[in-house]
Amino acid sequence: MKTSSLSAQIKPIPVEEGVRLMAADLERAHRFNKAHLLFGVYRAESTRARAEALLEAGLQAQGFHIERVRLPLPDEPDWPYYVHFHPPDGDTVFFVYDLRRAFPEMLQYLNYRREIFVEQRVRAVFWVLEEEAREVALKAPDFWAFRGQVLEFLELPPPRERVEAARELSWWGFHEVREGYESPQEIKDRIALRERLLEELGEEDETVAARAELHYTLGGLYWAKREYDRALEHTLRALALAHRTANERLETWAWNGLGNVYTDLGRYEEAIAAYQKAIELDPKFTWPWNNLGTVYDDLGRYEEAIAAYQKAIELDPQFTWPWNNLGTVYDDLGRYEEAIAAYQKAIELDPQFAAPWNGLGNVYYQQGRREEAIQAYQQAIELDPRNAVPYSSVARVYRRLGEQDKVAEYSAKARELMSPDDWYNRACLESICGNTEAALENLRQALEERPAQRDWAKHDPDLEWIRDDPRFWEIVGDYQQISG
Amino acid sequence: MLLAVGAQMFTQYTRAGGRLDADLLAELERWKGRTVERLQARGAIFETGAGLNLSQFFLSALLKVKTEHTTRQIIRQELGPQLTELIEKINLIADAIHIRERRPVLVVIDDLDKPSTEQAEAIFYHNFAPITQPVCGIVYTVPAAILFSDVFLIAPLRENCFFLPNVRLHPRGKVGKREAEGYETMREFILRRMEESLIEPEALEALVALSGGVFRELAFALRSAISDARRHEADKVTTANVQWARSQLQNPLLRLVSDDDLELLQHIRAENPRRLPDPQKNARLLHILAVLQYADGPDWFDIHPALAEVLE
Repeated sequence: MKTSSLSAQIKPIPVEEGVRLMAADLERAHRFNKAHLLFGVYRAESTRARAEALLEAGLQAQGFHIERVRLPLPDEPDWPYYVHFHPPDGDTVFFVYDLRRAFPEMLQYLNYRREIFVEQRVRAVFWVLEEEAREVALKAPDFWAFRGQVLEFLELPPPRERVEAARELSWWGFHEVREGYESPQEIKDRIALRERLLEELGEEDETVAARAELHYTLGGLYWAKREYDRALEHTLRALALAHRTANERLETWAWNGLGNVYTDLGRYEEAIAAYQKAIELDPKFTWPWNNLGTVYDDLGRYEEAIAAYQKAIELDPQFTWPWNNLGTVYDDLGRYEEAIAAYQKAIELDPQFAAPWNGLGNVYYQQGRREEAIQAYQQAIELDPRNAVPYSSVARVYRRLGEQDKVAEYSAKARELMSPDDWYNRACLESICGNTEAALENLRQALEERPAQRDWAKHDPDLEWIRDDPRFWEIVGDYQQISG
Repeated sequence: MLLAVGAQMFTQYTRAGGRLDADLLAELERWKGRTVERLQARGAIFETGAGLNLSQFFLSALLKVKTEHTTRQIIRQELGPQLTELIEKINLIADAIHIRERRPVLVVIDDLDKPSTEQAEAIFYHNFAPITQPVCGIVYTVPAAILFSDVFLIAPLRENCFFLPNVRLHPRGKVGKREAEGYETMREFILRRMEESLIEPEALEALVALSGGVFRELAFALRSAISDARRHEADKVTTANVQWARSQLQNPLLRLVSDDDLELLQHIRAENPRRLPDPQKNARLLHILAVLQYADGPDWFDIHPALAEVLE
C-alpha cells in the first residue's frame, strides 16, 4: 500500500521529552507491577540511538535492567511463547529491535499471544521504523491495541549530529564479525543498519568522513558474507573517500580489506598489490604482511609466505595469526616439527585461540598420531564451538579409524554449522562422509571460486576418498593424472 | 477451534457441578484414550500419560494448542481428518447437557474477529461446513471487512450474520448533533472504570466523541489520556490530556491510509453514505477503523473522528 501525504501530519515528539515520558510510564508500570508496551518510532538510526541511550541511562539510574531482544530469536521464532516460559524479572525492560526481520510470522504471534505480555507483566520498548509500526497496526491490530504510548521520534538530526552518530555506529559489531563470531543473521543486521545510515547521510561534503567509514565496514561485512562484488564496491568507495579526506589510516585499512576481497576472488596479483600498497602507507601495519603470507601460501610460494609471516611477527611478536599461519606453511612443506612449534607459540600467546589447535590436529594426523589429533581438534571445538572445520576434521580421523557412528555424529554437527556456500569445506565434509558426487560438485564450485586451491586440493587429506575418481583430476585440472 | 468448543463445553459444565451420563463419559473416555494414543504415536507429549482424566486431557490439549507449536501441528494433523468424530463428540455433550438441563447450549467464541481477512475467509468460508455442524448454538465473531469480500457474498454464513454496529454518536448526515443515548452508553463505559471526579466533564465528552462509538478505541483513548494526566501529575483528566490521546489514535491512522483514500474519506465524512463505495476494495478501511459502520435502519458510514480534523 502507498503511504499517504497525511503521514506528513504525524506529530513528532522531541527526543528528550519522549524519553522522559517513556521512563515515567515504565517506572509507573513497575511500581504497580503492570505490563507496559511502548513503541519508539524512528526514521533516523542516529535519532534512535540517541533516544535509546538516553532512555537506557535513565532506566539504569532507576535500577532497571535492560535486556535487548533482536528478532527473530535464533532458536525460537515465536518470541511471545519464549517469554511465556522465560518471564522477565520485575526489574527488566526489554528493548526490542528488528521486528520486520521476523515478519510475517511475528505479527501473528504477537496478535494471538498478546495476553502473555500482560500475564507476564512484560515491560518493553519496541524500537520500530515507521514501516514496522504501520505493519503492526495493520496486521497485529489486537496486539497494537495493547500498546501503551507510541512515541514518534521522527526528527532527522542536523547533518553534523547524523555524522557523529553514523561514525560511532559504523564500527558497531564490526570487529566481532571480522573475527567470525557472528551469525549470518547478525551480519545481515549490521549491513542493513549501515545501509540505512548511508541513505540518511546523503551526499553532502560534510558527510564524507562518515560515509568512508560506513563503506569500509560494509566492505568488510559483505566480505564476511562472501558477497564479493558488493564487498569490492564498498571497499573501493571507502578507499576513494578516505583518500579524498586524507584519512591515511582508513586508506591503509581499505587497501588491506581490498587485498582480502581479491584473495577470496582468486585475483592474487591484485591482492598482492593491494597489500603492498597498505604496507607502503603504513610499514608497521602487521595485517597486510600476514595476509600477504596467506596469498603466497595459496600460490605455493612458500618461502615468500614464511618471510611475510616472519616480518609480521618481527613487527609485533605478540601477533598470533602469523604464528598460526606459519604453522600451516610448515605443515604444507612437511616440516612437521616446525609446524608444531609455530602452533604451540600461537597457543602460548593466546590460550583462547582455537585455530592453532585445529592446525596442530592436522599435523598430528599427518604424523599418524590420531589420538592426539582428536584431542587437539576437541580443544579447537571447545574454544570455538561454532566453527564447523574441527568437527569435520574429527569426522575424518574417525573415518580413518573405521568408526562410522562417530563419523555420522561429527559430520552432522559440521554440516549444521557450515555455510551452504562454503564450497571447499563442504567438499571435504562430503568426501569424509563418502558422498562422492556431492563432494565433487562442491569441489568444482570451490575451485571455480578460488582456483589457487587446486594445489592444496591435490594433497588435502580430507579429499583422499575422492581422489581415485578420474573426475577429481579433471576438476583440479591435472590431465597427467587422468591419462596416467 | 472445535476442540476448544468441546473442551470448554465439557469442562465448564462439569466444573459448574453438571453431571453427564455414565455411558457418555465412558464413550468420551474411549475416544480420549484413542486420541491420546494416536497423538503420542505422532510425537505429542501428554505429561500425565494414559492416567489423565477427560478434563485434564481437554485442558492439556488446549494449553498445548495455545503454546506449543509442534504439538499444535500434531493435533491438527491428527484431528483434522477425524473432524467428524470430534463433532460427533461435541454433539453428544451438547445434547446431553440440553436434555439434562432442559436448556440448549450456547457457545460464544470470542477473538475470531482478530485474524486477517484472508485467515477469516479460511475459517468462515473454506471451513464453513465443520464450524456449523455442532448442534449447539454458536456465536462466532467475524471481522466486519469479511462481509464485503467476494467469497462472503455467496457464502451461506451471510444468512445467519448479525452486524454489531458501533455506538452512534450523531445522527446520519448531522455531524454536529449529539446522539444522547450513544453518549450515555459510552459515558457509562468510562464511569464503570473510574471515579467521575477524576475526569473533567468536557474531557469525558471529548473522549467519547474521539472514540467514534468504538469501545476498543474508547478504552485506548482513556488509557492514553490518564497516562498523560499522570505524567503531568494532574489530579484529573482534562481536555489537554484528551489531545494527547487524540494524537495517539490519529498518528497510526495517518500511516495506514493512502493518498488514494483521501477523496473517499472526504466523501464519507460529508455524506455518511449508506453504502460503502467499491466495498471489495475499501473494506480494508473498515478493518483498520479508518471508516466506521453504524446501524440506523439501513447501515451508514462515517470516518474515524481522529481523522476528521486532519481531513478538514
